[in-house]
Amino acid sequence: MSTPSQPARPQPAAAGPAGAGPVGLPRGLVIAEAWRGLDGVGPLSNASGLPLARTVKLLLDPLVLRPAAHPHLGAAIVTIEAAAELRRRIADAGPVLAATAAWFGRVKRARRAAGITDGHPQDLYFQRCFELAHTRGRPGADAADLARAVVDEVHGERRLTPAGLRAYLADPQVHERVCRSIGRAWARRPGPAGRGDEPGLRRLLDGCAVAPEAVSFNTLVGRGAGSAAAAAVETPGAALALGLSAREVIGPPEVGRAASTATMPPPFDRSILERLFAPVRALDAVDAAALVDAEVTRSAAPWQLADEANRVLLAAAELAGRDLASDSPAGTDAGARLRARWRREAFVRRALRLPEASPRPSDGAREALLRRLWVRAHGRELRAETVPGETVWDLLDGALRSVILDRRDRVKADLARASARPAAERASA
Amino acid sequence: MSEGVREGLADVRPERLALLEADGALLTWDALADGPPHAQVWDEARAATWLWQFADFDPVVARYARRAAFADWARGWWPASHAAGIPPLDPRIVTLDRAVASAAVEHLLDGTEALERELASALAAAAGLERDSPAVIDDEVAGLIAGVRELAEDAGLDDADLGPWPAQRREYALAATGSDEDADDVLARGAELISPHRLAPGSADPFAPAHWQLLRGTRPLLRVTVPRAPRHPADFPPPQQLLATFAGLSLWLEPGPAGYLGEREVEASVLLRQPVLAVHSTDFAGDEPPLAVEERAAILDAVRARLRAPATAYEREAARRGLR
Repeated sequence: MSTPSQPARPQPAAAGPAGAGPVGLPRGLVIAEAWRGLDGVGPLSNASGLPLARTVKLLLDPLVLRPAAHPHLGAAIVTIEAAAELRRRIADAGPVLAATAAWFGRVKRARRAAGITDGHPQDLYFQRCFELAHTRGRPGADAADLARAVVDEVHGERRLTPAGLRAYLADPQVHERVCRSIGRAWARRPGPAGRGDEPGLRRLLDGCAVAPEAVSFNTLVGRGAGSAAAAAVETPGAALALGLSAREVIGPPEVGRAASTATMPPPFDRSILERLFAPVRALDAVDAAALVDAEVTRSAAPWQLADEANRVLLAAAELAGRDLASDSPAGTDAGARLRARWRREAFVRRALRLPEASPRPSDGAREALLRRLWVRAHGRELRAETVPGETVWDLLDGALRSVILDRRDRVKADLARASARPAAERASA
Repeated sequence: MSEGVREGLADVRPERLALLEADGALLTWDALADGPPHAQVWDEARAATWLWQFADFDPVVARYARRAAFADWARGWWPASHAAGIPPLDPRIVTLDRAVASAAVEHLLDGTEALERELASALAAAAGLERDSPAVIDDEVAGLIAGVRELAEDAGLDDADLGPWPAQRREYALAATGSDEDADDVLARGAELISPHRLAPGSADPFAPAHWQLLRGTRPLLRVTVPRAPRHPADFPPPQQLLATFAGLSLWLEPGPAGYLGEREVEASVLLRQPVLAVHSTDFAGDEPPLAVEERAAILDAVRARLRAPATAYEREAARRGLR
């Protein structure tokens, strides 16, 4: 583990060289104090009285503070002037935020009444409630109707369900058409494209955690460095080694007749139905034919992804992931950080009194990381979300964290199963 | 760092280390003593967004963070014991409390995914309590259940999508207590205290010694017995087997109603070697030294004090229920 370091202090501190730089305050402290001064924002807060992670991500940052447009409001340590501006912006937004919270309660009630359980309510409704708060103020006499309209819009009949998608693909004519479409797309698969740039990827991985910025990432995207790196994944055995396929040679996907999250094959081996049936729940109204056609095209693209930004992310993850599969000195800063997270898990398991069959490099960590990133990248593409270049490290780190949590849950389940297994079975094992 | 948070890891044995995985740092406490957390920072920038809350003594945040970490400690390390009269905890109430406390500090957790998994477990715990143990649901537990349901609804989790609370009841396959032997049949005997960090949770009684006997026979028979820990009916069954080593020999111990028992024939010369008994669960062979007598006594004192003045719903319930 890394050497502990000094935390930010709440009192004004020199942000620059001693005595020379501007005096600053931790941004989190300023936001927390301002937030605790608001009334009526309980539904947007946790029990500590601070804004929820999703409140910050979906409301405060993009709609109230907007650090992307006002970088001086986004630093971890803000100047006294910026702190005053942060406080003012939050205080000014107080009535709208309180109305947003009230609308969220109304929309949840409408969701409950409609018997809807799909999706994450905060993800789905926070920003719509903020819009309502702006346009309508606090919920009034027509609140129930407006809340129901939001729920209808988000979960309307035009939304495609997994069952609807399966039924669509099961139609013999559709099935036949999609088969032909897959054949055409794979016959026209593009050859190697873009310019390989491993040094550029290494620079990205060295900087993404310590100084997140978008320029180096966007440069790699512009050069097609992700597509270029995919050429190596296409060679026999490469996708198998990376855990993206169970086959020596990857091939076109099936259309698919059934899908189950419990028995999902590796990404490149998934049928069109398997690729779409889980994420389709989170999509706004979509046309099944267009969705399937796009998926067919995507399946024939480098990394089997449509967006070059996601391909660059996978190429970077493949490079960083090598440090998970090796005991030699880490090749990049991001690789070293991923490795440190992986190794920290052994300590956490001991602290939680879980078995110490500790994660080793050979445990398929890199493969699991790539699979998780691919699934998340694919989901982003379906939701038409981009990859902000400055979030590369968060995406890499978050994917590995998710892999670790999966494994921890599996260890807990195995512990319970091993306990329950008859003695005779264990003895013969 | 400051009086509100200290640098590094809490310098205590694993049996009393409470942990919270925060964003950019591991927070650890001595679970059984008052005091601020220690922070082992692994990402300065991320930790800096919340660590000031401890440095600045935000009492609400500090209280919830510690409560979440303590619940995890209790889930793994609570030393239920027949020998010391420590009742087991109801794991469902611990799970509820853990979820509510973690949600209160979700702004500083290492991602929200772990919390969503916890809430899913807590929903199952709530359903299990309502179905199997309604008498346990006092106002405090009902408040936890209501809190979990509201948090779960906000996270889009639905009872209907979740599996049941996973504990399984199981009868012991063997009556593995061993029989009393005439003193004349016993060539030698001894006892060793066990070390919880080498044992899976819920297996051996942490305050009862493991016993070994060498019994007279055509070839001497080595018998090892380890008293089992009391188990809450809603908890996982204890592990099927433990592994004992004695004077360089290994033998599996099978569980029975009173404890674990293992026997194997040995050479009489076994006593010429150092007759030291050690017991562990598979994959739990920690490298820390055995728990010393004074440390064991300190843990027992602290846990008894907590039962006399419970601070959590699950300790209160266990104190009321006692060992039965």
